[in-house]
Amino acid sequence: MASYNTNEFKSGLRIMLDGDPYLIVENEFVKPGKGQAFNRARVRNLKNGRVTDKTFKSGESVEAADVFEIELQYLYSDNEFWYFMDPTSFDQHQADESAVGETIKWLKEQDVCVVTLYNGSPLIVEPPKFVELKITETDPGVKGDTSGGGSKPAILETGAVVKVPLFVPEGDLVRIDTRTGEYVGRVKE
Amino acid sequence: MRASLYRSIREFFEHRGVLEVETPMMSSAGNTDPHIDSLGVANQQAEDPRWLRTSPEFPMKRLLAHEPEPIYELGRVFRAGESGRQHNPEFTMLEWYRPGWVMQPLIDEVLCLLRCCFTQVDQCPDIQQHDYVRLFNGVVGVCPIQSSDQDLASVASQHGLMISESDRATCIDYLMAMQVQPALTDGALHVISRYPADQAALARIDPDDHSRSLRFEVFFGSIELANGYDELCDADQLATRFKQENQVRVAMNKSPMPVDHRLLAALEHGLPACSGVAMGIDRLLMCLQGAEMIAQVINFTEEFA
Repeated sequence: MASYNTNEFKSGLRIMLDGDPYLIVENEFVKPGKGQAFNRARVRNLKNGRVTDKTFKSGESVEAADVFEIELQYLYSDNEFWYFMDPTSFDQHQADESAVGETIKWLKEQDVCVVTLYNGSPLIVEPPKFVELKITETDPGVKGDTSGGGSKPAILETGAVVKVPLFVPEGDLVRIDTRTGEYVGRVKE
Repeated sequence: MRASLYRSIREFFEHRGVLEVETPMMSSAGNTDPHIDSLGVANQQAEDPRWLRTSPEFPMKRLLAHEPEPIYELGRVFRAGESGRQHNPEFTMLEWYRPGWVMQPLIDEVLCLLRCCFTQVDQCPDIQQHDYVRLFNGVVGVCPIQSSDQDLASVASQHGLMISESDRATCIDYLMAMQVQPALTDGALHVISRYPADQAALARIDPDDHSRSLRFEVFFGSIELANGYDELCDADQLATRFKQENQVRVAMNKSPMPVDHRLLAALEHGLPACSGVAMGIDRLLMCLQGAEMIAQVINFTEEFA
């Protein structure tokens, strides 16, 4: 089984603690002049996102978590699972609701997502930084008002609700920054 | 800043009649302390290996055995693998010895020196003196002497220590470093004295209370600055501690270190009763400048050296 010594600790490393995969966010060397040296690590539980401080005796080894990120293409959902495909190997992966989480509202078929695999199964699905989605419902556009100012809510094809400028009509394709959930611009088809 | 600090330190000791000495940085003996790793000198012939000093303590004690005069040394020391926010593998240590002094006068002298240094940056930190056991008990709610190994281990793991097997010394070091130290008031100088006997290092055991040692440490806020002892002068006891420490090293899969037989011989000849203290000068500079990282006070830390 792969493991890491505490002297290899650095942010970004994935380790197993109490049966859960964790990400090391920060690592600090702490040592009294006389006495045991420690590594205090700030770690994030990859399953629930919770951040805690854990301290290890320096020199000890910790089991490595079988966690890595790959790019997968979103195929479809049967509302129980969300199916993804590796575009190079054509391997399929199914993610459950907890893995997809908030990403659900940005998921459009064919889009490529970064998926964190834990023991081979999707643990976290991250949406692309920008997605292009069609407006399925919004108030009629105000012609000529292209200077901005006001905004209105719009429902997108994935069900997400975003704020768009008043002039943007139903049926338009818009570009959204998924990190902030904000409208970036219109996309010409 | 560093230059003026060195000047103040030298003036301080000159006024007090403490002599500056220089002792070897390379020695045929290493440090047996299981938690301090000596750096070896690579180009030395295999039959005569040399180790970089982790402190000037042993040769200074040999000088004291030869002539009981107050002495100090200001110089670089080396510790393998110690690198972090408050650590660099080579750092500057001030160490001094007072023959005939017990612990409290030396504590007072340490505080006097620190006050002088802080005055130069227009600061006058408060001074708080703590009894180790009372402080420890007050912060973590468990006695470092009387509590069972299991109680200590469970308190340590409640506070986030991940350990495979419970080891009393590790739990105490952990709780001290992660709970007690951070609880010390910022901006004040703290003296913590009378460490438990199993944390004695090279201090004498308190003759009036065998559960305690005559060891003290000084902190500025939570930053450890100095460690001092009413020194253990008994050659047999010291030889036993060296031997035990090497056994612990072997149990930790570390190589045992060559013991300083010249120091043991000097103690047999007779080390006068004395107290001594070592102070981290880079840490002191951090405190004087309000620096968060040791890299702010060292021109070229390990990664750039």
